[in-house]
Amino acid sequence: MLLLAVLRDLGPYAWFIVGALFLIAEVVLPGINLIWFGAAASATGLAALAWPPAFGSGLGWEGQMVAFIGFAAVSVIGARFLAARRFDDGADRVNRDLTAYVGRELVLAEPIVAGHGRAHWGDSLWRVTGPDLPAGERVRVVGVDGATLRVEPVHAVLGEARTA
Amino acid sequence: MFDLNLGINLYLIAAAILVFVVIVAAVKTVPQGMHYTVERFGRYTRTLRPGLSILTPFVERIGDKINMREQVLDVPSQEVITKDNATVTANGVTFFQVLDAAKAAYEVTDLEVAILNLTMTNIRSVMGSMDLDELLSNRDEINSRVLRVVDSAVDPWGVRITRIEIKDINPPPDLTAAMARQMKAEREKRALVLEADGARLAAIARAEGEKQSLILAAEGRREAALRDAEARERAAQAEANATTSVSEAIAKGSVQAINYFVADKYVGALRDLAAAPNQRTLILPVDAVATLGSLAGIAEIAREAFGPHPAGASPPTPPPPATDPWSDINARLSGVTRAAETAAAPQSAVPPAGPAREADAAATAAPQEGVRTDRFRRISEATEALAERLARHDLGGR
Repeated sequence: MLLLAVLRDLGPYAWFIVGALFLIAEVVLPGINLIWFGAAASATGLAALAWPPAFGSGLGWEGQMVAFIGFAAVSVIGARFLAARRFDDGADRVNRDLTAYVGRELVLAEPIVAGHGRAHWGDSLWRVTGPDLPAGERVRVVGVDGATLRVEPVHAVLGEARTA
Repeated sequence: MFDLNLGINLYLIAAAILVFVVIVAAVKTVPQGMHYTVERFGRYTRTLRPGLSILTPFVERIGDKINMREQVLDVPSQEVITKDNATVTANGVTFFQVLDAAKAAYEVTDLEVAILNLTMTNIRSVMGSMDLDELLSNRDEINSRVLRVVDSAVDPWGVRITRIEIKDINPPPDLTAAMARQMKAEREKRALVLEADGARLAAIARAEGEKQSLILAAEGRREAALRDAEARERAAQAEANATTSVSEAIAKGSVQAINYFVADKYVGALRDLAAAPNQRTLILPVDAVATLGSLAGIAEIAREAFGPHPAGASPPTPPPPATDPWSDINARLSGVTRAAETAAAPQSAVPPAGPAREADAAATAAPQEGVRTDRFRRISEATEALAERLARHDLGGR
């Protein structure tokens, strides 16, 4: 009731104050996303100010509340949409799973027997799966299965490329 | 109406709170280096990658937050019994990285504890299959064997073990002390061997040098001896030549020349003897009296030089006239010689007869007491004269 009383007393500007508080909290508090509410509160304030008087005695507090909820939902969905389109461009090259390594050539440290073997890479051994091959064979990473690399012999890949 | 209005108002407030909570719960920002698993009604559906994500409200929620970065686990110290029953304390460090967040979240409970235990037991089994000496020298082998086993074991968990390193292997203190002693003894052995080797080489070198020097010295002596012999030969040859020359000269001239030289040398030798600084008293040996006989050679020289008789005539010649001073000397010398000869002969020997002048001629004459005493007198006179001369020489030599 206090909030409602304040809102009623301050009119549309109360929304700007609330929005500013949300944005401050967004910066100060880690882990919680409050920017949407800050944006929605500011938008609600603008809407209340701009509401044409011709449509009655202004936007009631109920109407303002509904507008706030609506703006919040829209801002989140819009941000997700924007993030998907603009920011998630796959440019992050760290902490990707092993699919980033597809196409590299390795040398088998241990023969692939019954589908399992190991290959040298970066001063350590990687588990690989693939057709049975002797140690020392050059292989190319063609896929990833958890922490295991799927490999094929390089000459087979080259052969396929030639036939293709 | 009042009640309805209040209801609508309360509903609006509740709706605002609901939207707030839903948005907070549904909108997730995943930080870089983490993957979040998403569960729909408790069942894993997908993994959230770093960045902004929106969950379906009420249906989905976050399951596990998995760290995808490479992580380090300290493997605590543990007692390991080696193949040869030594108890060592070993610790290490394990590096692992989660590559599949869903497997790491759902295939294993408490991933880190699992990896730690796996590592510890495998360190134990690998180290237990090795001797202590192998253990201390084959860390790479231990590391790679443990890594192989553990890496295979964590495959279902979507985890890769990057490396496992044994940090410390501590044998018990008494074993360490024994090892230190062994090492020290080994070094000392090497030092002793090296020293002995050095002494041996030094002795060999020294002996070699001595040998060389002895060989060189012997060669020098040999060379010197050869040259000496040569010199002696040469000298002998020269002597022979000289003798030949002398002989030839004698053959051409008179043999008395020889007698002259001999007598001269003899007197010179006597003089030298008397003049020797360490010889105050000169004792002439008995033989010396006989050798005085060689002075007869001088007499003969004189006789030949002044007398009419040819050289080599053994019978004594009559003395020359008394006016000739040489004749007296000659006679006296002859007397001395004869007397010496007589003294050397046995008493019963035929004494010379007559005065000294006739003594040479009358060798077979009957002995007479007077002549005898006369001869002794003469001998003593001659000896005294000689002694005087010698004394003079002796004084002169001083």
